[in-house]
Amino acid sequence: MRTAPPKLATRFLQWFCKHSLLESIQGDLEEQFEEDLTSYGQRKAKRRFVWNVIRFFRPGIVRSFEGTKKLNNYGMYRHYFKIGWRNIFRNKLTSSINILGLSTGVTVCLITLIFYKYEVGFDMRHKQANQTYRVVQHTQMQDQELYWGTTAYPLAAAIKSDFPDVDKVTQAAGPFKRLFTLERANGEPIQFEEEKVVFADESYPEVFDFKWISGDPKSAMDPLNAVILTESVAEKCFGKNYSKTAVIGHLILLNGNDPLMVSGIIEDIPANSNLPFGMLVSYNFFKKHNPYPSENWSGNYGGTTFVVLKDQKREQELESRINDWKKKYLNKEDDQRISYFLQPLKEIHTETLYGSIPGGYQISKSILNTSLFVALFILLIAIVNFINLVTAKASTRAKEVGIRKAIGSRKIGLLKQFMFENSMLVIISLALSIVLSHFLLNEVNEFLSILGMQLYFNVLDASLIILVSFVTIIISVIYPSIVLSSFNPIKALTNRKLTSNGAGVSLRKSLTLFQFTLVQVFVIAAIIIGLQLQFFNNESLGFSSEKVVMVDIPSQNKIDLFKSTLTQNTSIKEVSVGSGPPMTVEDFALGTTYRLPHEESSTGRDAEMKIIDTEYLSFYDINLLAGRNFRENKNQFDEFIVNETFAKSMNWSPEEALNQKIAINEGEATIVGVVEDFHNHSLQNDITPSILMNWNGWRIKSFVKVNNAEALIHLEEVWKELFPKSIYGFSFLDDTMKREYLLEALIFNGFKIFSVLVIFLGCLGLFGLMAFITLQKTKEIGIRKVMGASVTQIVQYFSKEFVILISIAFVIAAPIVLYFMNQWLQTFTYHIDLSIWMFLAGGLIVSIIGSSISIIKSMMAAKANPVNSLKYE
Amino acid sequence: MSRTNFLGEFEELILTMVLILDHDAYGNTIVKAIKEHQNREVNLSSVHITMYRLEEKGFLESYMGGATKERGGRKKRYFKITNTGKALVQEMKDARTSLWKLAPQLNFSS
Repeated sequence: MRTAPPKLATRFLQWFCKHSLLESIQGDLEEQFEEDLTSYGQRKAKRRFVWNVIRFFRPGIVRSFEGTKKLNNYGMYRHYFKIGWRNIFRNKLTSSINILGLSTGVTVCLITLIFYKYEVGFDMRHKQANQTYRVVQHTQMQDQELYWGTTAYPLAAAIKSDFPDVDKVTQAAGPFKRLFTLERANGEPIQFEEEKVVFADESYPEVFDFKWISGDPKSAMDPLNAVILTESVAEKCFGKNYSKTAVIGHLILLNGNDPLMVSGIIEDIPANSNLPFGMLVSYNFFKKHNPYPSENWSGNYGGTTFVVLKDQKREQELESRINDWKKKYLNKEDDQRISYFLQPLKEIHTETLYGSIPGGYQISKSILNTSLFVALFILLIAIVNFINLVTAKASTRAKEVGIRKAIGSRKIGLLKQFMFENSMLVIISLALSIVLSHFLLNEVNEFLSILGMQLYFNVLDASLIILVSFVTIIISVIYPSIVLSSFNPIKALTNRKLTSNGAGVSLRKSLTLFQFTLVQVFVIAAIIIGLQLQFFNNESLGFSSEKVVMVDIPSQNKIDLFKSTLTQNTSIKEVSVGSGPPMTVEDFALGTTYRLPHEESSTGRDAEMKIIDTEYLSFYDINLLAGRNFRENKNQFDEFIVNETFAKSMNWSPEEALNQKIAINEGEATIVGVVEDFHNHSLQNDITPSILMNWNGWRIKSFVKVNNAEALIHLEEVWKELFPKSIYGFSFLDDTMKREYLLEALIFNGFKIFSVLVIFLGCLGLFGLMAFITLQKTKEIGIRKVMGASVTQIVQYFSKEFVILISIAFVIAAPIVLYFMNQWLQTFTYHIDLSIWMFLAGGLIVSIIGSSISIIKSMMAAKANPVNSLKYE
Repeated sequence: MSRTNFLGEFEELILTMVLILDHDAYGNTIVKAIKEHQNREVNLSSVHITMYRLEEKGFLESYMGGATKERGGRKKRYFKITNTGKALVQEMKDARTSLWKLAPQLNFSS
């Protein structure tokens, strides 16, 4: 049997040896080995073979690292890169349109995704977020059901004692505005007002996770006078460079008399919290100062109850147990009306049924989903543009593909090349859009600062970016690459008119059609939303709100003094006080139920109640339909003024209503006047029965008509003089009322921005396409001109197609908008009526922009001198 | 003689051997020939490297051929001297001879 040379050595040789030399070297080595076998014997021959192999391991024999199989691919990619790079620069216009369009789309998509994540992430950072529920209350009234995100205060303590199997129960009250005073360690006195003070019991930090800077999370809320500060409030109290540990135990006075002891400092609460606070104060103080609400079971004064259930399956079981058990505490009437439900923590922000906390906002899930869809559509439009332009350009590469194929490129190789090349564009756009969105996020935050929004990139979003990028690359690169790589080489090299009339054109047309349909949907929708918003802002509310400034009245007994001091200055003529402006703002309304005195108390109907004074009606230009105004400001009410809706609800004409006796929860009185209906709720809602009464309770707001800056200064001076212990703040009523349409304004602005972007992208695509088509047909245009075609004819010839496409798009877009906008408008009680001109205006705007682009572009081509385009022929 | 045309001692030896072996010059035969004619053990790898270098310099050229049953059926890389190579060897020989002539002649007769 023949002895083979050592395998390992052979393999080693094969690995390192230059391929061109391997055959002869290996042959020589084996020949030597065979001779050695006969002359030295097996063992020595093998040893000599190994030694010889090792001797060959030297420069000149060892292959270099170029020219191996793996690295050959690297070379190929370098080639792709070079060709791709050259192509990007050769077609500067198309490349920049591609990059600009795609990066815009991706940026919008990224920002919206971050926004979406932020909005659905409300309070989701807590470890027990998925097991935490808010107790909500439904109250069945005679003609409607009321939904409360808050519950009666004693509920939490009762659940805690009666349901030992519920893992955790906690209770919060607020947020409230409170005044604080303290003395710093150096004796400096500090006074400040905190807008967001939440009173909570000792379990609160166990249910919600905070980032503790100092203090013990477990026991911080245990002391009866505990207060936990957020970092920014702590800085307000103790200055910038305070010692984080030394301030523990420091005393802060609540409203100037209750000493609170600082028991912990936490990082600022993220803005996407349902119940944000600057200070968390022990619930005991709330109990002490509000003995009635905190023990009352039938009222609802803004207490929030959270429960934690380790076992999520028990949610429904607990709900039914609570509803069986509640009769232990509620009176019979309340027991029938009130039912409790558990609402998962993650739904609090997006379920608009229960309303938001004062100063907060809610965004419904459907709006969030819509914005996400819109963003994805914009990305899609950008991708469609990209595909459109790249496939349109494909024919310019036909020859290259033909030659590559003729010299042996396989389809898969070409596919790789074009995918690589197109990915380069996509990656440049992605990089650009990451930079862009980073900067734009600040702008967005600024823009939405009224919501206190804090959007930011974080590491977790990297996965989001990768996902978006991946999807973008896959969708936008594959199709054009397939088109490019599948040219038939024979056709490509012989027939120049390869793709100008191929299947790509109809696809391009339908993509353009799709784009322009979306563009028109957005533009028309934006017009309608804008008009509705304008309607909200301009619709006559039934009272005048111009130049009205609202200020708080901290102390009821100084009202008369305040009024008289103010009017001493000639620039202030009218002053009125009351519980609030005619239209309910900032979710603050007084409510009551009303009935005839002889009716059962349970038959009460809901009414909105307003405390006013004798000046109120003239101040707001509210007209009396019958009867008279109040004659004097009284301590106890004995007269009512009601609105028209109220009279109608009792089937009275305004005159019949006069002198009727009415009973409300607070007592009985006679109707002395009926006023014309004014919008006592924002325009999303109906006008409800309203009772105006003249009483000395709840006169917490003062309204001043201010005609000039001097008046405003005077107001501030007087106020500060009369209420030295409080902090001055004022707001214009018009601005405050606008906030009621905040969400609608937000949607409008969103749509405005989105539709501008969509138009921009659509135009970019159209421009690129036209630029390319006219370039490709330069010769054709030249020949046409030589044959006698006029500029107008040529322009017509080129832009006709796009004008037709835009018109078809309008026909598709209009019914879509009609359907969705109709649904949206139906959610408001007072809304504009859709009319045909809104649609036509939208269609017109888009057609003008779209066709002017195609006309300008074709005009440029048509005006060129045919000599220039034909002289090479 | 330019720098590239300069040959080392071993290079000259190999070049000469290729010339001698005529149509049968490849790695193993050269090793054997050197052993036979000069009684000198040289390693196969040194021979290969040198031959490649000479080929690069243009004094040798190679061609593949002569697959035999030995050596696993692999082809041999045969080397052939080029005209430049021949001229170089000739030149070197002449140069040596002319130098040798300048050396004081031994006179055995005296």
